[in-house]
Amino acid sequence: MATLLSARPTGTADNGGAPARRAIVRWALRLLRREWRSQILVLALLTLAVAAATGGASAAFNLAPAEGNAERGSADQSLHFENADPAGMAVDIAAAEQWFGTIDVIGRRYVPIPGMFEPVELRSQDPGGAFSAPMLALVDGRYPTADGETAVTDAVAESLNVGVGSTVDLDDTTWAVVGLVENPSDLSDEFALVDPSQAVRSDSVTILAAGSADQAQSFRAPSGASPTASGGPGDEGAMAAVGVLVAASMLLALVSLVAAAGFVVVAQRRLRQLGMLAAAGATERHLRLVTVANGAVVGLIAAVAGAAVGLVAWIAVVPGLETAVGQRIEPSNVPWWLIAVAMVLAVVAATAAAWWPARSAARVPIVAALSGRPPRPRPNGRPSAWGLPLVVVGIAILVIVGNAADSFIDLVLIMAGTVSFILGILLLAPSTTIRAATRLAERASVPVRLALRDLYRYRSRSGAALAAISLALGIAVAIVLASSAALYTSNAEGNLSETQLLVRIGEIPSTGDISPIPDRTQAELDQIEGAVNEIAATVDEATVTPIDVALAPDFEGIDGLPAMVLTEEVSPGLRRILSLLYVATPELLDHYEVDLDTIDPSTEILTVETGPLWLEPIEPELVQNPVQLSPGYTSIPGSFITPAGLRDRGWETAQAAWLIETTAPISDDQSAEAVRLAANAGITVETRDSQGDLHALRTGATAAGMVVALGILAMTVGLIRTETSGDVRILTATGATRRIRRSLTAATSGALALLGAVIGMAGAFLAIIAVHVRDLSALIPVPVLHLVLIGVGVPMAAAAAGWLLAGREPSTIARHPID
Amino acid sequence: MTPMLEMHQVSKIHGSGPIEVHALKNVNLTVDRGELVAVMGPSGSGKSTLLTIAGSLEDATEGEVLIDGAAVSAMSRDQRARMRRRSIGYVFQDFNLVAGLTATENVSLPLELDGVATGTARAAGLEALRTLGLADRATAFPDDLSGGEQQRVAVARAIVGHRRLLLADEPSGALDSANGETVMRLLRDACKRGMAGVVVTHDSQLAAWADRVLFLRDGRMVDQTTPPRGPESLLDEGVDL
Repeated sequence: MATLLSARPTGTADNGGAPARRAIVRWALRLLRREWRSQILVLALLTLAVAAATGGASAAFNLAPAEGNAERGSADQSLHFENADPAGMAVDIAAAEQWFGTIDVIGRRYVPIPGMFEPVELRSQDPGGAFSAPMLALVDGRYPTADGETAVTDAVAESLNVGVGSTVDLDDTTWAVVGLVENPSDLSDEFALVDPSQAVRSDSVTILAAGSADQAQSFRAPSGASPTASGGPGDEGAMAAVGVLVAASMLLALVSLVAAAGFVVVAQRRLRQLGMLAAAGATERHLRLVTVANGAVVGLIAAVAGAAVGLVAWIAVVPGLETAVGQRIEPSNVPWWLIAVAMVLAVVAATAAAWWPARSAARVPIVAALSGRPPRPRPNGRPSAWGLPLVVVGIAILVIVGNAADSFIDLVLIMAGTVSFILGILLLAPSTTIRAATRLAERASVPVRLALRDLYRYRSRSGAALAAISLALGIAVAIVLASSAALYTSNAEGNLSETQLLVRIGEIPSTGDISPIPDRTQAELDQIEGAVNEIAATVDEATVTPIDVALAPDFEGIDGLPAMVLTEEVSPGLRRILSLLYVATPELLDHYEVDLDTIDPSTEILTVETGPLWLEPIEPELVQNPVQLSPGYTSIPGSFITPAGLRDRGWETAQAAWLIETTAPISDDQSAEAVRLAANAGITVETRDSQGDLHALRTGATAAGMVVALGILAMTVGLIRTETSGDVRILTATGATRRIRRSLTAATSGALALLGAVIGMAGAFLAIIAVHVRDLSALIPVPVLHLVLIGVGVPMAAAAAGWLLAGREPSTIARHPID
Repeated sequence: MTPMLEMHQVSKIHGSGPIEVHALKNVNLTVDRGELVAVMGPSGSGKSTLLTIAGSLEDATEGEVLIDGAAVSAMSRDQRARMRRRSIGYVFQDFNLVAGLTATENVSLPLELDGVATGTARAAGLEALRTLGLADRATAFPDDLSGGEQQRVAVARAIVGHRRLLLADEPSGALDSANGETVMRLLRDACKRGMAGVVVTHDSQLAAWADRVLFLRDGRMVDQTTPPRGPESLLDEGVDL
């Protein structure tokens, strides 16, 4: 021992430097190894968040650019020429090459096949083209290299009953099938690939090029043709993955709030050991380091485990995902840097979550810590004071932005509003509600009264736990409400409500490319109407609303009826089609809560579209003073001309579609039957997307929220009851039965769960109402089952678990909770 | 020479208003190097409070505490922590060993916290355990040690690294008489090597090991005696105790 004084550092550092930190961290790791079970919930939540970030970012990174890849390959811009004249097209291609430099040319010609509804697309494309790789891949055989050779996609091969080595007659030519190909970015893209030299003989030609949107729009074809230009940012994958990361960061921030409650419990349980450490000469910084190091290690374990789980899950779902989304996915193509960021965030979140409990535990007086009984916490009014302004700011932001996040700024605002609101609720609600509940229980039985008073006495512990429980249940309720509202609103899940079917005579249109209305005879229309009524009969209490479009007068040059459309200008002289122009009816306008009879007689056009709009395909005419409609379901007609306007202009109309609406959600079987009947009649029927997913989402959110809340309760109730074990001993000594003891624990856990459910549900309702304040009707169909499960099921389960577990007196009641 | 521990007019009041409790009232105490002082008194007399204030674990409400001539009240919290690491060793009734650390690690903990390299600190810890006859239990965790062994480890932790003030709160309270006497002998030996010691005990037999015995009642020091023939002197005379 004589060597020790000389070995002792002579510096002035009061914290022992690195050796002391190493000793503390080593001890923290030992403690974690001994007590890992008490931190399993925090670990699981963090792991789940990292796994979700990893899997989600990988999926977004691969799926987001698929549409652009399928249409443009790796090119920045594409120019699309319709009805190209072969001679002029060759000149235009040469001019484009001169304008852009390297280009890829894709020609398309549609060849009818006897007995088949769909024509076959003959696509001329250079497999070695500069931008083609994401659009073309060889599955079998080889690419066509000469006239008379073709390579077909799987569906074309199946339809034509051909394979590699066989021949097929298309377009009065016999083609030798030399290979099987696919568009890896769109597996539903079916075509027969021919040699690139065929491009100029195509019906339409697409030129792919690198360059800016301005460069593409300022290109002028020598032939006078007006190509449609389209482009994309080119980094959709990275942007989408970053979006997922931002969402995951929010999730991690919320999880860290739950983790903080967990670390409070951990720190409290270690209080006596921390006291021993302090008595042996540990400084406050050393004591803090114990819990902070614990948090960092938990975060590190969760980061590694979460990334591994996320990657394994990603690799496992890739085959199924390829089929579901119709594109090839390379499992190893994951955004590693984003995953690394998510892992770092998990460690930071866990460390940050451990900071405050660590600080509080380190500040407990040594003697109090050694006794294992921390002093009664002093009420601190400051957090509550911050709560109300944060709630108000959060609600204000959510109301202003609403549920239409049209831009990145909107998205950031929604996130900021949500975080502000949640923090405000968590600061404001727990202490207030616990105090209120204590007062309400003045006349309750002894166990209930005592349980609530204990919650109030130990409100620093119970408040943190209540905040975490409220958060878990609030998120679950918010998901349940939002997914329910999404069934009745337009832009959350898209096209139609779950009580609607849309039957069209033509194909389902897409933005920028609206099919003409098929020209049907009256007899054919009658037959179609009969089919529509037959479809309507398959669902309950259906009402059928006919939908007409306005026809452009004296317009020729398309195959079918020329429907009027609304367009917007994307660059000088270049306009993009936004929507068909439908004839307004009271039934259709009712979906926008607009009464046709009360509209100003001078109004002609009503639309959900914004900005300067033009009427086409007649000589483009700027729409004057349109009535702005709130966005509705995307597939429900959104642009109308009033009957008076139609009359004044002398335009004609044509039957285009029927909207079938029911009183009850349409089942999957009913949807399938409607599609079958529509196919038989040669019409199309559109149903709501993703109904099953939303139901599953609601149930999953409910289950997850309940599990997390009960897990937090399990951690917290044990701690509070241990701290009040003296009361239990006194109760027992004064003749309290086992039933009383059971009631005490059951009331503690039940009350915490009930308060958490109340706060969580109130907060979630407030937030969702703020988001949907402009259309509260979407919230009317309340998902009762899920809300009852959360609001009643969780408190009952908590009380029942408390009752059952209290039957076996925990050893910590008789002993100090040292280890 | 400066006394190792000086307490001047020290008072301690717990709580305030109607729940105010005077745990100590104007206590004066001086302990020199090499001296072992026993403190006796009934429950609630303020013995443990005296010890925690002497060891800077809590502050006195009034009065002054000097350790090796330095006023505790003038020190920052970190300086007090350093003083505890370097100068003060505690022995508690319930051992207070850190559960996650082995016997050696428990003993070397104050040294590691003070920045001594791990290897050096462990060597010192092992040496301290060897001195107390616990070398074969060096790698055992507290849960695997008997009560007597745990208290000997606690004593080793209290004396390792040339501490100068040894404070023991009922060090034999959880032990049988044989182990209790062993522990007292260890404390006595430490003081013979130059440490100043204060031991709180209920047991007058064990208090007889001390050079002086102080009596506390209701927070006041009511008496002070010197054992005429303590067990140690009896042992020195060859009496089998």
